[in-house]
Amino acid sequence: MIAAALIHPHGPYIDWAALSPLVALVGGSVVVLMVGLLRSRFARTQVVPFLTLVSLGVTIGFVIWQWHRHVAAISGALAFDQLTGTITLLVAAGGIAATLLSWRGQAPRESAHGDFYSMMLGSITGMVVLVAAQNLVTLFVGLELLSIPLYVLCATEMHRAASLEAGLKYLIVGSVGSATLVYGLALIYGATGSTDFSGIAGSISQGHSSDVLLLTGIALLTVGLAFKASIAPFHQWTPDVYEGAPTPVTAFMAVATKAAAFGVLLRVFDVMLPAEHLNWRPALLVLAAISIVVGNVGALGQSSLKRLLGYSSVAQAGYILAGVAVATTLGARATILYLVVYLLMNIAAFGAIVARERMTPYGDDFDAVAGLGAEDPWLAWPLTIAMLALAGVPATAGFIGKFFLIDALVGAGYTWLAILIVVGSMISLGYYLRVINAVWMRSAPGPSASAAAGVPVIAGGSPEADALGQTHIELRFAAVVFGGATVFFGIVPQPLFDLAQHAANTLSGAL
Amino acid sequence: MLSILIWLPVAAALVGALIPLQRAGGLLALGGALGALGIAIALIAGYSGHGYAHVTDVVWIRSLGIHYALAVDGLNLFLVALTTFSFALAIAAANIRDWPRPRVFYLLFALAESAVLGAFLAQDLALFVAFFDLMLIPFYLLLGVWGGPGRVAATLKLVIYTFVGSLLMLAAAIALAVLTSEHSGQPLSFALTTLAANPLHKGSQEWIFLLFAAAFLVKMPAFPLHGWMPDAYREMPLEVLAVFSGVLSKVGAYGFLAIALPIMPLAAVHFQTLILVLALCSIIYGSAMAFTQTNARLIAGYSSVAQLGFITLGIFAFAPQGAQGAVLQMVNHGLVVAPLFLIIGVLAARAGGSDDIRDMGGIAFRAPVLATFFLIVAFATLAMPGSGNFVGEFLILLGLFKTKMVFSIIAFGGVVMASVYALRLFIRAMHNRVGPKVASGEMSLRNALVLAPFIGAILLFAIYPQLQLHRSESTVTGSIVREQIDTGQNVRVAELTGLPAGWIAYGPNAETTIATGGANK
Amino acid sequence: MTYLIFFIAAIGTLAGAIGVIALKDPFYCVLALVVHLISLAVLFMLLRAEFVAAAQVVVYAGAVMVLYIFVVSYIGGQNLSGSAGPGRAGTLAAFACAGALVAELFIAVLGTGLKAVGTGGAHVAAGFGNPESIGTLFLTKFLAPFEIASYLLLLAAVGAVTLARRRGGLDDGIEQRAPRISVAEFMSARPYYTGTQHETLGRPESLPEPTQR
Repeated sequence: MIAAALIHPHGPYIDWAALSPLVALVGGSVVVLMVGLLRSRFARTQVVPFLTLVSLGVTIGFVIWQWHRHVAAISGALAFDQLTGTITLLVAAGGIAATLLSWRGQAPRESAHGDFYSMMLGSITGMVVLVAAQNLVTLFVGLELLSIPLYVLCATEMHRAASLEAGLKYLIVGSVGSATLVYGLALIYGATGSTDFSGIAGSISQGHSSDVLLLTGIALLTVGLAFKASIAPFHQWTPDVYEGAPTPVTAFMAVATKAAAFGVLLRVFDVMLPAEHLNWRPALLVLAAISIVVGNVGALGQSSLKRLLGYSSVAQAGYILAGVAVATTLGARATILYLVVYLLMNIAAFGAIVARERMTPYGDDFDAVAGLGAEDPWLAWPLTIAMLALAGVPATAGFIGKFFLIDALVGAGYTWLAILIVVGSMISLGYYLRVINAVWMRSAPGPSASAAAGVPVIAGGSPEADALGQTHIELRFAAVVFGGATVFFGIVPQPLFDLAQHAANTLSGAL
Repeated sequence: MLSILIWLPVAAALVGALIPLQRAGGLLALGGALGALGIAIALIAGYSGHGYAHVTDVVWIRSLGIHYALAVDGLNLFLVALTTFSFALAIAAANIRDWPRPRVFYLLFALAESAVLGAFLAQDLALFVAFFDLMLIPFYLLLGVWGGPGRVAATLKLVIYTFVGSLLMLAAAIALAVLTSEHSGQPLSFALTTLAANPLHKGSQEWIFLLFAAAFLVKMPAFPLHGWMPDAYREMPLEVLAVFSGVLSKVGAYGFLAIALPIMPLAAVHFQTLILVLALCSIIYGSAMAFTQTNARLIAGYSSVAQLGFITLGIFAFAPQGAQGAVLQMVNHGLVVAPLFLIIGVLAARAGGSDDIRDMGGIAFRAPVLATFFLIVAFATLAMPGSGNFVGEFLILLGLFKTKMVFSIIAFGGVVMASVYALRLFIRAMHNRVGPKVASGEMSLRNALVLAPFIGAILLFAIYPQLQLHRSESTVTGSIVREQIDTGQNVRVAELTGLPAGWIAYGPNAETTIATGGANK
Repeated sequence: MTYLIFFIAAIGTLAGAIGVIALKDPFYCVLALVVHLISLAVLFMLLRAEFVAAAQVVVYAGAVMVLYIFVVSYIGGQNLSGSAGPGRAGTLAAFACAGALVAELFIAVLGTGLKAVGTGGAHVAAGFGNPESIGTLFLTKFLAPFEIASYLLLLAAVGAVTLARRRGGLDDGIEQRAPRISVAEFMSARPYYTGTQHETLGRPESLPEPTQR
């Protein structure tokens, strides 16, 4: 085959229609980068984020246009199927939210708007590539394309040591994760002699299963991806980076990175390695259990909202991983559904937190949201709904997500893990309710006007003195829309189930 | 019809919340609650006495087989009426006062009503669980925002206790449905009738039953799981507390009758003694605490613990009279305890804002109407012969006497203790030496207007309990029929009582159950 | 002969790797890394992977290491020790984890049931891994990762510029005005406080006073 290719090297056929979402993202990022170089202040501060939104919107449009196609593009390196489509929709929605959150934020101002949004679009491109990847090489390139812009984005509030520290920490930990992942990929290639997912799956089913080299490769691959998805015990970076990074970037990392990481976990385990499920399933189940415990217990004593959400994301990663670990179609559907729900809840929460960060001098401390219920119901309700949804209260999408996950776990015979999820939810009440207590049952800590005069630089906060007292219409919009969607899909969840079913259909052949 | 009933209160309050008039929230919430009450009365009038009525069954989540299924039967009919009645009057009582942030307050109040109604009417287990969990949230916020000084600690206890129970029940409900569908080979369904028609193995039933029981017992609250109760009762606004104690506690008892017993008969029989012992402990502990407390709210609170103990006894007697008495008592207790808390509010206003009975006393001299109302409520609480509560407790003890005589005798002690604490509360508050800060006076017309319907309802059920008994008979008997078969009592019961009308309707069903029950063993 | 070269290169690889982490002076560390990379290149040569070997020497031992040496020459020579490292337990745990990983990898490599391990190696077609076939693969089968990698490099450059063009500095908590970046500005004067030689060495007569922008 190689000899033939050498004699007649033809470039592969490129299905531009299938690639169109990627093209929109890459093109958008280049255009945004260029527009960011314009001299006009208006062009940089307003047109650039607007173009980012346009690019993401066009991406979503292309995904919907290509929804029912199932294409292996560019010599089968990228699969544009409904799983890719779903995750693309998710990360694009996360990107739109992050763009809204950072519209008037500090981070793009300090790092030049064009660069900031261009890197964000680049990271989204990486996520799409990662989920679409059909061979190990593309997988790795996608992962790096996801990560490298994020390392920089974390450090974009450059006047703040915590932000730089977050960027550096994420870089180091992320590189360790990448290195582990590459090692794992190399061993898998060594054991199976193929870089294609289908080739690997074929090789395993022909009798190379349970080979130690392959198992070690799978273990290292799992560890590498666990770093990205912040699954305990590979989560240590998460609270620090979440706290240090600019809050819009934190929101973006929390929802989009997680969606991409779990998308690729589904792809890897259910497409590439289904024949090995007897070996990887116990490991994933244990990781899920550890994450649930560590995340929920870790979040209990936090005083920073971002750290709290960081630990909460570890716990939620545990829940989502449980859906991957059961290795059933139902589990895959539950995973995807929970990813959607997770996006809605977190954006609503982060929208409110970013707004309070800009309106009060307390950064992301609990004081920032104290008395919010009396002061500003349009932010208080989304935050309350988000917290309740994260805890899994009915009439919110979080309940539906947990319900489906437990259903999938019990259906696969892992009732113990379902009980553990329930126990984790109980523990999680301890910290989600603290936020709600602060919102509704405490009064605001003194008039914020007096503090605005000399804003002290609080570590972990993002004091933006000139922005105090603005109305932040775009933040309200994001919080209210995503909070409303959380309630809406809690009451009318069938569209989410359909979406999850579409996405998991791609995998069902392998399971 | 039932959907309108459920969602009318919250819809009205939502409109009220969006109208920028401070007063509008309360009035619209009241209007919504009254509308719901009207619908509930219409339901009672139209109910035939058998089976389900006004069945609504829409697919809610197709992928999980969850239906939005509502129906009225003899069991929930009067509980729904009680709910709408208590909420309407409690919202009316709340309208007398001014609240900070009134629109949110009434919105949450109405949301609570909708959730409770939903829990009573749900005929799908998943829907029941959703409403059961949902009703906690408005009460949590009502307590946390508008409660007394120690409210934050109280909310934490309340939420952690009840939510832990709820979440366990969520897991149990899913496990129940999944195991049932595996067991029977049918697609996943949460419908109560389907689940009841395909009982699980005894072993599975047992652990699932325990999780359900924990959730229901916390909600009631019953003896070892009542830790959240004193704090929450002490801090909650009285208007909210009236419905919280009057209605919410019944959801737990209702859950036993409507869900735990029909679906898990084997486990219910297995754990009968355990639950009965817990119920007895509740009665004795609740009564003992009630006459050692000095805070009027806590006296009423602990008396509720004891009363709910009676209700549990009645349910787990597995005899028709016991269950009938339990259902009757649920309604009666709701009708008694809600005005009791409202009266405590009136009393506290006359005792310098204190809930402590040591600060009250001598109020009766200048408030004869108030004293009359209070006396009627107090007599009903202690189950004076001639009150509806007497009929309820009598039926419960009668039912229990036939199956578990020892328990019945011990429980009788609780009846005696009830008279002690109820009279103590009345005498210390209304008579005795005049308290130092007491400024007695007749209650206002508006307060009287709110209380009068409660008193009327208490008197109505005292005179004519059959109003309810006839309608609930068939359903209630049906929900415990399995247990009787499993304990081998139905012959004895039939001999003793003669078969009631609804009992015959379950005859063929009972035979098939014996067959399948035998096969399962 | 092959064996001799293999062992020399293997020893060089290991010694270099150990040297990187064991040596105190950063400059020697970098030199050890160079030794390590070149030995690796020799190993690649032994595997007939000429292209990878060449890339290893040109890119890593050549370009990247030159950058390292530049950086070390600028800031090196300082004794960086004295910073609080992880505690004793942390160190032990780290060693334990590393040991476990090593053991796992040994088990994996030695215990694998694959037949090719321990023999002369897999049989590959002539020309496998030479520059031509790699180039062909890049333009056919691996076109997508190849193109994506180029985009990745673009973004990495953007990120590097973003970080390097840091304004304000750490001590300056007050937010600076939005950066003005235009092509003309890049062509003419450099922004201030960007650490240019121009700024550090200073030519006061030609450097205008920093005006508030």
